[in-house]
Amino acid sequence: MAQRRIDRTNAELGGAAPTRRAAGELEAEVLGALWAQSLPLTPIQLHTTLGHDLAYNTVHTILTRLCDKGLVVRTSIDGRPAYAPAQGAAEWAAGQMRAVLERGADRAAILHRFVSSLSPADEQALRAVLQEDDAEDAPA
Amino acid sequence: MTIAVYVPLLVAVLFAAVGPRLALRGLPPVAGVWTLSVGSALIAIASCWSLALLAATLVDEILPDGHRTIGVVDEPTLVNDVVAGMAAVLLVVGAVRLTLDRRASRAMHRELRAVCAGSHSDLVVLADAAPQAFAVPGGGGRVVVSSGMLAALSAPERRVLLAHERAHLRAHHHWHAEVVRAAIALNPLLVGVRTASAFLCERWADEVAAAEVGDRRLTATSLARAALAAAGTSCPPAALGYHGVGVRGRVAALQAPPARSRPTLALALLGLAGVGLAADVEATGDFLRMTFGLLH
Repeated sequence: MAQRRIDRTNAELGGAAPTRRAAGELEAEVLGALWAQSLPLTPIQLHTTLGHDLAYNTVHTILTRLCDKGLVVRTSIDGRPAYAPAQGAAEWAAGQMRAVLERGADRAAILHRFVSSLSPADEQALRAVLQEDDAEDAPA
Repeated sequence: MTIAVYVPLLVAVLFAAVGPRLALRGLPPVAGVWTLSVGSALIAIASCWSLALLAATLVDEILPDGHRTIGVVDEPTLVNDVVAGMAAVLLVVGAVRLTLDRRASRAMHRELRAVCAGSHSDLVVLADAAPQAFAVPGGGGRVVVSSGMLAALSAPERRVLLAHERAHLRAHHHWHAEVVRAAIALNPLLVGVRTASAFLCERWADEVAAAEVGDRRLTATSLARAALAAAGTSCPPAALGYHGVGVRGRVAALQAPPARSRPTLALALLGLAGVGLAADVEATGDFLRMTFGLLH
């Protein structure tokens, strides 16, 4: 299903000139993709997952840079190099962030309240939106 | 001065009643956010100015008796000392609220930045199964996303999420939030502006993200999926949340054609705020004439 969405996006972009994006944005995208998976990914798998205008070489360069920064660790799958997100910093950040946001009741008022629950009607409406979208994607 | 000095307070009530509703229904997000921020700021300034003028009439209580008989201050049509006293109290309360609010806000943003400072990437990942995402402004800004949120979305949907949070940072939405919050601290009548302003900031970022990925439908489904993933999990409150206020309304707006720009509506709302300032100028003139009368 995810792959189909990717295909659709590519089709809709219609092979338009690749949008130039800053290095930081590409790094975020690659890092996000690695975190989204529970298993390490080879550069080829990652390239397929990202599935848009990124060149394979670019993915490789970004992975190297993320490794240098300690955000990604290199492992291997069946002897081929693979990459996984570094856990330590993210676990530390999660703990720290939770502490910051939970300290004091006035915090909730300062920040835009994160809606943790939708009303039942909202949930139903949003599910309908997704179902409609999937139905439109399904081959005729 | 007897009437003009109260006009800004009336303007605040009117703006709070119609401003958010008109901005939500009739203005595109960018115009709506700016109108609410500038309008709220002007009205907060005007109403504090009014309170200051009212409080300043208490000066006749302090002056020696000889002066009091000359001035117009003791004329019964002018400001009653009880009203003047209340104005002084409201002004002090507003100043205290603003100070506490600014202090709490600064402390929290400093702590959020401290958490992000260790990361060498624009994206700070939280190893947390609860889906959440928000932007932390300052020092170029960071996008904070939990691993739960990243896992809940497909690659194109993650692009929408990242583009949305970056849009918050690039458009400095935290400044708008700060201005509106400061205005409310000074004049609590404006409290209704906050939700509308927050929602329109989200709408603004949605539209930027949609333009960046070139697909409004993908943006809508990305939002819906993120909101449904987060529903039921207990998330801590977050800054300018990706699926904060009124996700259903944002999804619906993305499915509809973009709103037309209506400069007259924005100008009318700002004009209303301008009336408050003009009334203050008038009241100040009266106050100065009155004070000169008092001292000569």
